Amino acid sequence: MKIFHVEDDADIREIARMSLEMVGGFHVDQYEHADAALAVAAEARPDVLLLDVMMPGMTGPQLLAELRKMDHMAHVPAIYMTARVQPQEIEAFKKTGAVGVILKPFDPVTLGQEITEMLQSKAA
Amino acid sequence: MQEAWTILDRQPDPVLVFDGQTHAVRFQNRAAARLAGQSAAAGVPLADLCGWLRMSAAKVATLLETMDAESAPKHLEVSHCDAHFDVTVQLPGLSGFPDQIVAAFHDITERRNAERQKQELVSTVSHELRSPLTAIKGAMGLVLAGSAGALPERARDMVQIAHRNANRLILIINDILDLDKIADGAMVFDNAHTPLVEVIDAAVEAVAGYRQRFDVKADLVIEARDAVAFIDPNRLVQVLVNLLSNAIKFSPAGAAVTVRLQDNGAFNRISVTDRGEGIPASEQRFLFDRFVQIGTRNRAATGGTGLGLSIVQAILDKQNGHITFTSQVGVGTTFHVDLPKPDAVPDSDIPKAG
Repeated sequence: MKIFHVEDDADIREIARMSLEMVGGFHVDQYEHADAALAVAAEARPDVLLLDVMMPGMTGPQLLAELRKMDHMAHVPAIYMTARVQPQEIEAFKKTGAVGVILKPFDPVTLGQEITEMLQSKAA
Repeated sequence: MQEAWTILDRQPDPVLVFDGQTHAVRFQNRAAARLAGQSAAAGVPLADLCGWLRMSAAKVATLLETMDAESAPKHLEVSHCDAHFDVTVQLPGLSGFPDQIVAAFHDITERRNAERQKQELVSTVSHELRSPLTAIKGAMGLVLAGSAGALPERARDMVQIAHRNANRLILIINDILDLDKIADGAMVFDNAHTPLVEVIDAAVEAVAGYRQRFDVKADLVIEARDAVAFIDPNRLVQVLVNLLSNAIKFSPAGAAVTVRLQDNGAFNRISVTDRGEGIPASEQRFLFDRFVQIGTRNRAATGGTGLGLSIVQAILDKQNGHITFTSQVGVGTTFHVDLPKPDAVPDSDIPKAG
């Protein structure tokens, strides 16, 4: 399972990579911001998009809108990660076409499982 | 008497004077005229009372309906464009003008703006704290999960302490955001006619893990099985979970906490009783203050934030509810949550969502 992860905070990128690779058994490709992600998006074939919401430059939802314009990215399940926790905000994120929202701070031991469950509930 | 009118006319705050009988506006001072964009000369005809002041006058008249000769001065808040006013309404006799009611408009725009800025700061800081906390909690969680290999026992103990306190910090931030949302009016209350038995069951169920951890049972005493309140069920569950967690935390192992539902005439009462140490009389009046934790127990060990009861009180305030408690050292503490019966709440008092 390949995860396409965009997150501007280097420490959180590192924690997420260790959590997803060592505990979750995923393969993770990481990008610091939307520009870096878009530069490789044409060649990338991920199984899931994991996008931080608040980033300098393009936000997660804006990046997702750009990615969706590409045929091969149009239907890849997307999950947001955010420190914004208002219930209305979570609903708004889901309306932009994400299968789920992971709240920061996340639990590194169960992060992979959380993503798997979101993908399964989408498939069901 | 003429002197008094002159003083009133030269008051820096806008003032309206109402007829004590008809509640019609009799006089506006220079500041009120200026506020309305009229010439500051005295004696502006009242027919020219600008739309905004006329609306405020209508609100004052509504307030007057709730007052009688014995009432102390009452306050009401009105806003116009970006300006906010605290209006003090004084009855005849109190105001020094027989048969006249005086409404003085005090500009509180700066205070309101400062409050808003404070709330924005709280919200921003709380959100900004989450990113570093994500990294801290994540790194320690991975170490504890063995991702960096086996740890010596003492190192593991220390990382566990750090991890537990990172979690506590997150709870405090969540509580601060909750309090901020309530103060800001941003907390949404989804009110519905709610059977209170259901709320109690949900709350008791929600603390099942907690009861097990502290080896404390929950006894239910339902004396008003059909009791209903017009409230947001999720917020009331939040209130009861808070009270139950406290009760469980402060009860000795093997004890039971009691949840009682009673019809108390004008209102329904939910009580949560613990068999804890009780709250000394000297500390009782601080109980609902922010960041107050009673007793000698270690804060980290109880896992509390010191904000729980402030949140409980703020939520109940918004729901027309009321919380009180009785406590006896060595016996225990009982919290009473009083909720108005649905027909006892005037429509205008029901908080709207948002």
